[in-house]
Amino acid sequence: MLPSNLLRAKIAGGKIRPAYVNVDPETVALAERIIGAFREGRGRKKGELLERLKEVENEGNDFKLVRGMSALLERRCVFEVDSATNPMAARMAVFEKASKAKATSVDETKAVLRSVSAKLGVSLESLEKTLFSDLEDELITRDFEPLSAELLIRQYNLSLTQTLLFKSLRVEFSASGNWKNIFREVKRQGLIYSVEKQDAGYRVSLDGPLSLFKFTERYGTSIAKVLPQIVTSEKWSVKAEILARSRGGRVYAFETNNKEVEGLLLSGAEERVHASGKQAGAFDSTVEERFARSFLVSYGSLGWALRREPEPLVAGTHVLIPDFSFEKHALKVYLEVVGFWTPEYLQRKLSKLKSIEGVDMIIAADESLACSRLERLKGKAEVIYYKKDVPLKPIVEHLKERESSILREQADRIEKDSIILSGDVVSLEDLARERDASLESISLALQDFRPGGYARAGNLFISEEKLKEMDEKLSKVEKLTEALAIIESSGVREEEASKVLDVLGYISVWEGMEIDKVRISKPSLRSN
Amino acid sequence: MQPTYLSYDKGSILVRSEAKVPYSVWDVRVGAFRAPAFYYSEIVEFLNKSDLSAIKDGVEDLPPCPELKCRSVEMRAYQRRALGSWDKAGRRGVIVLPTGAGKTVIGMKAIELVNQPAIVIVPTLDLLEQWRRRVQEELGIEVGAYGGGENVIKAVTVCTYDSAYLRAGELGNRFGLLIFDEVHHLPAESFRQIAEMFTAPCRMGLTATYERDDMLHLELPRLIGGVVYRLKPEDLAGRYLSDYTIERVNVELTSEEKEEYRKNYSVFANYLEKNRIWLRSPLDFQRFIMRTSRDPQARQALLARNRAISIAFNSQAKVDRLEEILRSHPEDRILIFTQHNDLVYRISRRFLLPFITHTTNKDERYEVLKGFREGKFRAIVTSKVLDEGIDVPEASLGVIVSGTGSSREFVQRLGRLLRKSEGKERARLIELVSSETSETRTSSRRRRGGKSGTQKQATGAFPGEESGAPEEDYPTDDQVGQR
Repeated sequence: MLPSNLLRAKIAGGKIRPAYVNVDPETVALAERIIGAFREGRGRKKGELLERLKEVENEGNDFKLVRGMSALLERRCVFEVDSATNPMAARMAVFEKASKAKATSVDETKAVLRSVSAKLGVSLESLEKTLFSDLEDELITRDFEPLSAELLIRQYNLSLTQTLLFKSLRVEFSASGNWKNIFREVKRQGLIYSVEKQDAGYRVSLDGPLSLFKFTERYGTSIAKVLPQIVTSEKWSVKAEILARSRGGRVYAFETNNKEVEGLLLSGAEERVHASGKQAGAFDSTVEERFARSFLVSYGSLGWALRREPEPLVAGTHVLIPDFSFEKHALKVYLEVVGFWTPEYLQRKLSKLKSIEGVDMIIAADESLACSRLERLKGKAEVIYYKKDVPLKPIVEHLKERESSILREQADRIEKDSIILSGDVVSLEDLARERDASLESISLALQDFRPGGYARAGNLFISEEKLKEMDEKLSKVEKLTEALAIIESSGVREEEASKVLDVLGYISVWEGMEIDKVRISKPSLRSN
Repeated sequence: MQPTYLSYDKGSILVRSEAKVPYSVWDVRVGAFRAPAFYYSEIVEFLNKSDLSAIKDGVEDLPPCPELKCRSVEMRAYQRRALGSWDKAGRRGVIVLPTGAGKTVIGMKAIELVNQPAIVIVPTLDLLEQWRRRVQEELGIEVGAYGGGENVIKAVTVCTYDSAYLRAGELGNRFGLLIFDEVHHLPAESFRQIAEMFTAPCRMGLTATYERDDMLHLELPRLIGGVVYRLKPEDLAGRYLSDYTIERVNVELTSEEKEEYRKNYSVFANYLEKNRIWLRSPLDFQRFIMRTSRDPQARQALLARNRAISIAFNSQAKVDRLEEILRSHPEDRILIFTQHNDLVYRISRRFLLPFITHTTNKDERYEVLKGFREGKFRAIVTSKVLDEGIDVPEASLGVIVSGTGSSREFVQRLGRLLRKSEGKERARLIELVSSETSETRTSSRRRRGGKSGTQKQATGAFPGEESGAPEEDYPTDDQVGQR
């Protein structure tokens, strides 16, 4: 985004279009000159850099283009005050002394500086250098993160488009993907959207609450901030109404799409990659992040896959953009954390929810941010209220409840009679896989399943012949390690092997801590 | 029958009812009626009168508020009358009083009268500090602030126009009283929305310069109410305000400056002549500016004009004359005004005087103004930031080194000097004008509308008040992005 006065746009036939620059040798040369000026400006005064840029401007280049590119590069710089002492404190001391002495002539002011420098114990030169060192022109360019001319040009074009959108009354767009990030930004900017299904995709229009009463460019800046996310999508198109106040408030159409500006615009994703470290910044510790972290620490073992920012859910003309999804056994539960809200807002959200079938969503609403004193919506199981942090307990309870009911459902669907075992060793995993059911639901369904000719050992069914064969072999060995090797050689996995020993009535006798010395025995045999 | 639900949504009122209420429009996007927030009291009144259904009103969300009571301040007779007629007008409307007449006092008394959470919108950070300090002392409460990096809401909150515009959507339902200081800023296209997005039923505007050149002050009655009380400076001069004189001092450019000026100015003039362009009004100039973005020669002409103006504005001769003025007024407390920051810093360096520009941070502004009031500093150099509102009663001499042709700016700058203070006999305002340059016209323009005879030693007249329509200057380099 650029300052509005650096917008370059062309109007023709009722349409407006940013004056894009191409990645051609001429523009690349200009971009390189400007980048060069910044590069050479390192360690020097900002005033000198500005002087250099003015020269570039005065060589017959479009001054708005030069300033626009410079504005983008300036954001990649670190400027610092070059002074060991505090300039403001020095000024105050000098100005007070000068006022007291009523100094006006050059000699008189020089004398003031001399006396203050003596008092502060610094040299006259260093005092003079300090005095105005925090003014813009006097700042030193400490650091500059360069980028290539091509990237600068494309970033400039993107910024130019955003700057045009500052004056937009409303925007319509479509995109082939990246919805999650697009709507996240829409939400963050407090815009109002409506979604319409169109052919293959969706068409979204963006404006704000007050757009209803008047044409206002109030939301233009917010709309502009969504643009990088839109153009990150593989295919996209944008249509905007632009208000030109300087032309007596006429409205112009602006339309473009990914094909038209291919290679001209920097996408949002690219912009983030190439953003200087300063701009990328650290993420805040948000409510959402704290929730994710504590969920994984406390309940990670429950086996729910927690995903942040899952895909949006389309409900009629609206979308729901959940913050999290919890996934397990083909079960998906969404969680949306709501900051600022009104009862209407929640009600609307819930009615949106109702319009999409089969979606299970929990809404966590911040009690302290309720912007209304109306009574809370009672009796809505899906809404959890929180203060400061989203509580884990009700959510985990909800998940557990959903899990057990879905397991029960799945288990009920498994017809025990249809299960015919074949082979010596059959595991529950195999049975689950055959039926496309979860292990949990199979084991729930087969809790009391005792098929003829088979015995159950842990998650295994083992044929009686096989058991007999193993028992014979086992009676000839004493060591546990040998016994386990025999069992595992029959196709039983290590973790199930000891269960087979149990089934056959063997116990392990430990005589020390080493596994090599553990013996097995069959108490029942001895007593016989 | 379903009750009617009212709630606030980012600058508007959402109405969930079975029938449409006045000023509302059906919003398909959310499935409710929506109305601009500033019709809030009208909508509630309508619903109460029509007695259709129960009303569940969740619009206002006022911060906790103690009893708001002024400690000691007494109103002057005219201040009492002003507040009285505002009260009678339904607690809406604009009070027009000359600078220095104590508008802050009226504002604080209005807060006491309404005794509900109040927000004061001000144009600058200096005014924000000033209001905060006054309210804190007088009402004995902590005051919230939005602007300059702060955002704390309290029962009484002071906020800049910029912050109010940006955050109206979240602040709009938090106050019962809305006060606009320097209300002539409000009609600007974007700022207008502040008034529209707030629900506060009680509204007050304060200004010394009500009328705008672009006539947009006609919007004010709709937004906050019309003029309910008005006094001219001559009604108060002498008794409540300082007497003053205005002098224009012509200075000769140095010979090199003259040469440079002529060279540059003729580039501009020749271009205009060659292309048969006449600049008779701000609109003509606007058209010329638009031309410069298409026509490189027009841009060269404009740059040459700006250089010429800059020579006239920043002439060394003015700095020399300023030295004489400083020398011959050792006891005065002096405000030095310029058009651009460059000159501010040049003067500050040359005379070692404290400065305030729009980039000066809060701490330094505070130190400088305090030092000036206490007599630690005998002068302040400033560009436009001190034009409005700020109280420096001790200032007795003003020097305009350069400025625009706006008479509003002129009136406001003069206003800085008019507050009465002990030992101050008469305020003086000196204009330094480069002779034989276009600046002489700029100077005349800014003073046009004053009584005849304001040119020299005119006492008591107040330029800008008579004609009622202050003149804006043609844009200079600000508009065309000159650094």
